[in-house]
Amino acid sequence: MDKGKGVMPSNGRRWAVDFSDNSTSPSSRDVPDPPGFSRASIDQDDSTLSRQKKDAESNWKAQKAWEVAQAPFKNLLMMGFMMWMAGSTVHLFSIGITFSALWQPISALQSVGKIFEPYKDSRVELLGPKLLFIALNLGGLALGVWKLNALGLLPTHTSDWVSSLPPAQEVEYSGGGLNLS
Amino acid sequence: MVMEDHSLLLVQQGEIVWSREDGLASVVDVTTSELPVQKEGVSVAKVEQNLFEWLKGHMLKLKGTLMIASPDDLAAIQALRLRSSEKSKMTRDHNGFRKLLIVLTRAGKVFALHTGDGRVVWSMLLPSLRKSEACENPVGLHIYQWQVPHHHALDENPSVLVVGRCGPSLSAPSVLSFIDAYTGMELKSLSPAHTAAQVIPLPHTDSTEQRLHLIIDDNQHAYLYPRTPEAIDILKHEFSNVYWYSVDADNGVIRGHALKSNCVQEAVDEYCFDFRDLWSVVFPSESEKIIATMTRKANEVVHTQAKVMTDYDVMYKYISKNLLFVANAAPKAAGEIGTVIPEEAWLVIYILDTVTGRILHRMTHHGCQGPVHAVFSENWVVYHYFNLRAHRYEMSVVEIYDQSRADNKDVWRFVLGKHNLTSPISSYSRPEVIAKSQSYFFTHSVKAIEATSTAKGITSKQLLIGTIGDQVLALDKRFLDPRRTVNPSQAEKEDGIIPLTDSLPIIPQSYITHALKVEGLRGIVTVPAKLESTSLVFVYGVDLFFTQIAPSRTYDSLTEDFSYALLLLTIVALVAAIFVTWVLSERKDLQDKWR
Repeated sequence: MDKGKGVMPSNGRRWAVDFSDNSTSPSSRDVPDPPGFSRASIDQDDSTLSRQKKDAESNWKAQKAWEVAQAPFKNLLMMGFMMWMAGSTVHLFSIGITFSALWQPISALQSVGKIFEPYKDSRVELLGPKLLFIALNLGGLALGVWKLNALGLLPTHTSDWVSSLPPAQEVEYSGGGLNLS
Repeated sequence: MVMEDHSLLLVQQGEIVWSREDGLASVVDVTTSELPVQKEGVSVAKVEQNLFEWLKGHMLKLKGTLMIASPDDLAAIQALRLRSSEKSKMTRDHNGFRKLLIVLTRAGKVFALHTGDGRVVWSMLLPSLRKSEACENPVGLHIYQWQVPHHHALDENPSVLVVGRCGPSLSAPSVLSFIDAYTGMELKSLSPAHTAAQVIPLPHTDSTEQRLHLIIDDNQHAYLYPRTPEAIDILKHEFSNVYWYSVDADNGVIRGHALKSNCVQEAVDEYCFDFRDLWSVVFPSESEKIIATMTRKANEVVHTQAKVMTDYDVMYKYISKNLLFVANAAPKAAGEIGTVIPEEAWLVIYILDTVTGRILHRMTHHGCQGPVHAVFSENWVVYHYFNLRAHRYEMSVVEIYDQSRADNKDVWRFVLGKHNLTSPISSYSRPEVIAKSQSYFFTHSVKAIEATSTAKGITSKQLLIGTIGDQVLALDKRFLDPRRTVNPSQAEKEDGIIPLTDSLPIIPQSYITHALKVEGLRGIVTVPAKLESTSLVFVYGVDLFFTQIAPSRTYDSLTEDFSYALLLLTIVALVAAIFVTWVLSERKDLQDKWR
């Protein structure tokens, strides 16, 4: 008969009262509202509060996204300093630093989507931070490549390509010499 | 008793007590041959055959380790070890160290020496080079590789060609003999009617892997061998590219010729060809007399045509096999050292191109005299002579670079492959060349000079100098580098350029003959092994000496005491450690999840 009335032998539960009420009209309730409580105002507060909360959330997300996008910059500076310390000779340390400087931007670029996943929101514009992130990582990659060039490992000179050329064949053949004695 | 083949025998009461092959003291020419390929299953059969001997051998070795062997037993053990060691096997080995050295001696006897222990594998007194009515004073002149089967005719044995003549003069009839390199049997013997003034091995082989040879007689006719129609076809194909030059030391003229056509004679011989004169270089006989000539070895392999200088600068070597180095001395100074005053002595060296007769480089050394010993390799010549003014011997190096390729400096042309540096070159294009040279003092007098040769030409070269003390010194080519300066810059030092000093250092540890002497040293021969870092050296004179040298130390093989056991142990331990730690970490993860 009434919703919420718990005395129904078919349930097996005599004293359980269901307080959750999804309807908004006051007439369908058998438990009267407390005095001074009006239903309409609650609905209004709910939506503004949630809207406010959503606004705050999206602002926070945008801010965090921009922070994450700017994180590679610090990494760049640190990498630059470490490469300067590694020197211009080809040693284990300098090769290791250079390759880690090349590998980090590449792996970061591959996981762009994953990094920005927690900040995904319909109201937050993620393209800007993503582009900044990509640009800074490409800058890190360029720094690594420049260091590779400074170590002399890039084939930018003629001598790198020409050493593998076999000698040219000669068309004519000449023999002879002093007479056999 | 001295026998016809120059071997010595001691005969006592009708029995030969000992015999000694002393013909080996007069080696005239040397060539090499590969040993047969190791076939599967042969060694097993040999072991089963000699089971009894194998048992006896083991008993002897046991006695030796237990120190109860008698001196005869010890000698037998030693002989057993020598016979069964790796280096004296009769098959090819992986590194190319086991080869046959086929030597021709003045007695007309051909020996095959095994490079592993120097024993005589076979010897053959050529019947065609023995004194007979047809041939009064036969003398063997040269030995060439005739057939080296590696692609088409793998079942056949390689063979060598021996060229001799029947008398001392140039107009004596010639004798050709073909010998099987594995067995020493004479396959064929020819006594052509023509003489043999020169022999030119051509770079072409026919379908049975026989190398074409042109034998030129003293009337400037060339005879083609092997006498097969296929050889004529191959020669006709390359007709316009075959040239011949002759050096006439008595008249001071060098002439160049090209193949013209078949001989114009009464009897038509299609294997006979005529030459036409192309060029001649006449040296003024009142001021220059030819005392030495040298060319590059025909089978030399050069690895790369570019030489990288400091600061990534590239110079291109002028690598042409058709170059001739000629050393002329003043006519008065052509005799012994010291018979002439420095003002009347000079030495002029030329580097000629033998296809066009072009003089690429000429240099005069005033106050210098012969005898000149030279070696020509890749794009450089090193020659040794006597300086009368300084009363010392000198060694000079001349390096030739091709200037016409020097404008290939754009990197993108190389990346895209748009350069023409590997296209075939011709001597007629007359590229501009530049020569760099330098001279140094050298204390020893020299009997022979040779350069090391390797299979691919990558290893740096050493000069093997046979000194008057009958020893062989290995001098690194970096000491004879024209780029040496007194104060090298930092970049040059990194390049490995040694600061310039006025004389070449003679480091006592670099004698490859160690404490031995090769008595009566006459010649040095280097043979490339299959291993790139090693070159085989054979020195002959009255004594014979053979060794393997590694000019840049053996960079391409592990050291002999490399512990494979330790390597395997490390790998096994690491794999076990990986497994154990993986299991532990899995277990820890599971425990964390259940917490």
